[in-house]
Amino acid sequence: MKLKCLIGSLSCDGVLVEKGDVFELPDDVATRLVKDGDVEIVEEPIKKIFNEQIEELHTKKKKKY
Amino acid sequence: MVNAIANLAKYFDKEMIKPLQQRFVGRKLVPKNNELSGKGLGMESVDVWTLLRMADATISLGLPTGFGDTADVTSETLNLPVLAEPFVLPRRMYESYKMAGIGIEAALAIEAAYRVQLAEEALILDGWKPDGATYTIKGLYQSAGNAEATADDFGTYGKATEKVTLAKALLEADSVYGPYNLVLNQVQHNQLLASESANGNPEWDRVMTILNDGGSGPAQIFSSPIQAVDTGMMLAVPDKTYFDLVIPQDYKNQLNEDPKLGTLSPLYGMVYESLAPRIKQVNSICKLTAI
Repeated sequence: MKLKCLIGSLSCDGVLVEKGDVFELPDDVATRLVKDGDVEIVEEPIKKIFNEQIEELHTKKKKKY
Repeated sequence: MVNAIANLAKYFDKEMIKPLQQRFVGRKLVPKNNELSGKGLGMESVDVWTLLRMADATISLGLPTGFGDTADVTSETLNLPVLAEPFVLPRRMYESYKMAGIGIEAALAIEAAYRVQLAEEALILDGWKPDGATYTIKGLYQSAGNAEATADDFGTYGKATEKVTLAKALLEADSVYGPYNLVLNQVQHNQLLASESANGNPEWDRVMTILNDGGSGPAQIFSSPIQAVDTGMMLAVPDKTYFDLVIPQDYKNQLNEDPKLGTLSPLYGMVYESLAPRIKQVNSICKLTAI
């Protein structure tokens, strides 16, 4: 999972990142760090496009009815 | 009719048994700022000025040309909350206890003071979030500028040593040097106390050596229920360079009567204080998670 560091310096499993850095960690570790509030998930571009398309479809449906 | 001997044989112990109380570590971790403290409840906030680092110095054979760095200062306002526990004692109840020789008002004041101290401990160690979600005042843990998140279960020998060493590296990278204090939940504190190698060497001693930077310094390992289980924090020993405690009003107990009722009035009491932790260097604190 792609993450963005929110805290000054973060060290985890040998990875050392600073605030604003984007990095990757296995999903289970990432979920834990998100819960701690030290990182946020960075949406992957393909996922973002997919979400946008779904949103667009919903909007069109609403307009129709 | 009640048998008189049943009442006559009763003996009243004048000592009031108090609720159990936890230990406090907050004021051991953060030093008091004597210059800003003691101003009274009128002091509602304090402005904090922070000088930012200058550019790197240059090395050259000749004198540098051009102008240098200017002072880059940021300012922030630290609000100072009031921590209070009010209580009321009906007059007749007070007189009854007084007649029996029991100082109920003193017992109530001591219990109220404990409740205030409990709130203070949470404020210093964690912070204050009036809506339960957003911190209005961040304490030590919430202010931490470093986080060590490698999964190191303190229940396994060697893991506490590894965790503390990793955290020390993070703190040193920010020019924060030992000795350090370590704050744990009781669960991890007890795991560390019980942890020993196959040869019977206690891990506690190894961790203390690391915290003391190899020497025999003032580092301590504290436990507090305020510190969430599976988490901890490693921070510089009390030093005003990194953080301090602004206490405009230290603990005070006030006991009053309503003047309209005079000697028939209930007793109104309140234990209160005003203080806030000021974290000057967030990088002097390292959060430990997954321990």
